[in-house]
Amino acid sequence: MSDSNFDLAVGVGADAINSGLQTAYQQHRDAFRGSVTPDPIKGTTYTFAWDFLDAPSLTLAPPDADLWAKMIKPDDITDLPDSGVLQFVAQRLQADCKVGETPLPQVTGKVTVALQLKLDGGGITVVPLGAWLENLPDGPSSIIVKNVVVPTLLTQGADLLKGLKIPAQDLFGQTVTLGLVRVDVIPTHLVLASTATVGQPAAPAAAEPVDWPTDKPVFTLISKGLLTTLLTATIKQYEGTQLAKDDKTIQFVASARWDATFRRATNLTVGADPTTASAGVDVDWHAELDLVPISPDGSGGCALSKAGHES
Amino acid sequence: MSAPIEFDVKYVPESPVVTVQATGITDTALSVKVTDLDLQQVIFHPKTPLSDVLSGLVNDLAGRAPSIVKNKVTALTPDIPIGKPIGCDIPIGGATVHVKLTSPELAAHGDMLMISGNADVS
Repeated sequence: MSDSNFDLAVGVGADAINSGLQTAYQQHRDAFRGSVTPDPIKGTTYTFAWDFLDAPSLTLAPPDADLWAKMIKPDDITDLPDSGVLQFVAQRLQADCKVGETPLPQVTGKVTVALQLKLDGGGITVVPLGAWLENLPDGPSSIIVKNVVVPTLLTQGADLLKGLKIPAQDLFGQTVTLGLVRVDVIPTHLVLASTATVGQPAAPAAAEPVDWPTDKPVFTLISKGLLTTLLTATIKQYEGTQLAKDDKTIQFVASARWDATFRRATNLTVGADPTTASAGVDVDWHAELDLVPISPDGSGGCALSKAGHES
Repeated sequence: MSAPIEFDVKYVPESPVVTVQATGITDTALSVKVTDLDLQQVIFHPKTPLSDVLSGLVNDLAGRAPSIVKNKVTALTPDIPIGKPIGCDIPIGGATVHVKLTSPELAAHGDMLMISGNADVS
């Protein structure tokens, strides 16, 4: 992992991602099939219709050297990047192609598209790297494969992930605005890390975890800086809350009472163990003393004192 | 009617520190327990002299104030609403798949607070 500071990270395991793909496939079947007929090439019209017969999945790892060598790549791609690479895998892609009005034999087979996730101005850019098809509808250097089928699959794969994001979060009653600063593709998880602002910019994390907690299916990490901001804002709702009160009476002589009210917390600090925190407490105290008249009927008692403390 | 007697209220330490511990988390709230308040002493200073009887009354109240406040405060276990579930969005075609964290657990990971759990996909 490269070093960068962040306030909030969300990691989602491969199983969860692929469960999401399965759900999307079931609920939005039409998103997984379509057809294109680009502008004629050298006077000939080419059509590619595709249908993913099963839900595709993501493999959070780059293709091995053998598969990478077999992939048909865009002209500007030669080397496999060393980070952020994952694979979009469909076990059964059905391809129906036509050259002019002549249909090619229908083919069905496994397809793998290699993609790279890169940070770009607070968002994620998906770079299509290459595609491999188990069964080609025509020769690997044919116009329809090189100019229609492969570019379409690369675009489809890239479109799958280009809007990937951590949505603005509501945390502890505060709306957190996130700016993506990091994307990690590791074999078990896809991790997105962001800086965060809550009203005003929060300090980024001073330190990074050594490793992501990959034993967790889904995890969120919150920096001390963001936690401090969130808790400070949360505590404000308790300002003005009565903490305690007490009274004591000497019969026929006097009655005294006090109450203490939480005014505000100061210097909230998250502990070395981030599940703990401490803060200075500013308390308003009020005390009253009533003297009771000599007559025991209770009439005529008078408030003699009132006191307050401000720290 | 006698003139009001005013008090200056002091406490020791001058800025008591409260400590809290996050004890658990659900889909909707973070549970927090107040674990300590280091309030040691409360002093009511009358601005005009009181009789011994009234001084005793006030001092008795002041003497037991720290433990009363401390007991009340350390019994607090407020729940802090989390708001929307934590997760991420995966756009697929024209749809968006929401991956939410459920059955959350609270822990530390390095010096960061970790909320982990299972995935709920919708």
